[in-house]
Amino acid sequence: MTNKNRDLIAEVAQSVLETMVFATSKRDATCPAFQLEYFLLAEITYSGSRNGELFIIAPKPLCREWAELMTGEDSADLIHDVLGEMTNIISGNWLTRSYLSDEKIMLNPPKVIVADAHHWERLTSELAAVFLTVEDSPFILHVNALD
Amino acid sequence: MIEFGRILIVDDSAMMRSIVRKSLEMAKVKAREVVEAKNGIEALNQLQLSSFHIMFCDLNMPELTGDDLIERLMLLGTIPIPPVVIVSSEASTERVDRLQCDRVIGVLRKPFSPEKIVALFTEADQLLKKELAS
Repeated sequence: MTNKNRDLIAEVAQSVLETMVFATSKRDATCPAFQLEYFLLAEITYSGSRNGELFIIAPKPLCREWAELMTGEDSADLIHDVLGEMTNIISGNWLTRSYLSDEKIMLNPPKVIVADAHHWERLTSELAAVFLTVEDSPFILHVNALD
Repeated sequence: MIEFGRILIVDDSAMMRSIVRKSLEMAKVKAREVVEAKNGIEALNQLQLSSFHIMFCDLNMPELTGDDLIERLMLLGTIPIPPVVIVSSEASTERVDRLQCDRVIGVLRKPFSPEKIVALFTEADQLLKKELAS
């Protein structure tokens, strides 16, 4: 991922987080430490005139906090839904800012799973990922633009 | 305060359905009833059971997507299609344009503000009144 792309995805994510969950965030230079069973990983693919995938990693407690804020329910069931939808919105807005409006790019439904050490190693390389701190919690973005 | 009839919210995300509901409250929309559907199939069942005055519909859903739902309703021709607001993260309106459905009155791009919802209700209201008069 180029520095320009990293800056753009960070800017888009920060703006969406502020609008959706009123969260302030800042860029970080280094990767946080991995914790087993603590992080969720959302993946969304896009296809059409451009193809690629975007991954977001966020801690479960942060997703739970957002779920409660947005639905009024303290429900562990909603944390996957919240991160998936957040990933969907960030991806859509990032693609809008990245490419011309006449490009036909379709987002596919996001998938959310619990991140394991293998995912962590693959997606958090400092050259390919963007690290944010959102309300004292890590929030990691990784874009794999195939074309 | 905007008084409105029955509203159908179609989205596979519980969070988004909740956000649309909250946005309606913030926009001071008082609906007679708000019904939720998790995908196009559930929405189709709801629309077969009773009529709605506006439908907020996501595009990317499992089982039956939003565009497939609208296409099916148009093909069937037997179920009244309420004014439709597409709620989507996609910037491209290609999928919506391809439907060529005059019931689609607007596209809400996520994240959206309650003010945008107000404008769409005004449009839906005008469309329904025009239909009643004709």
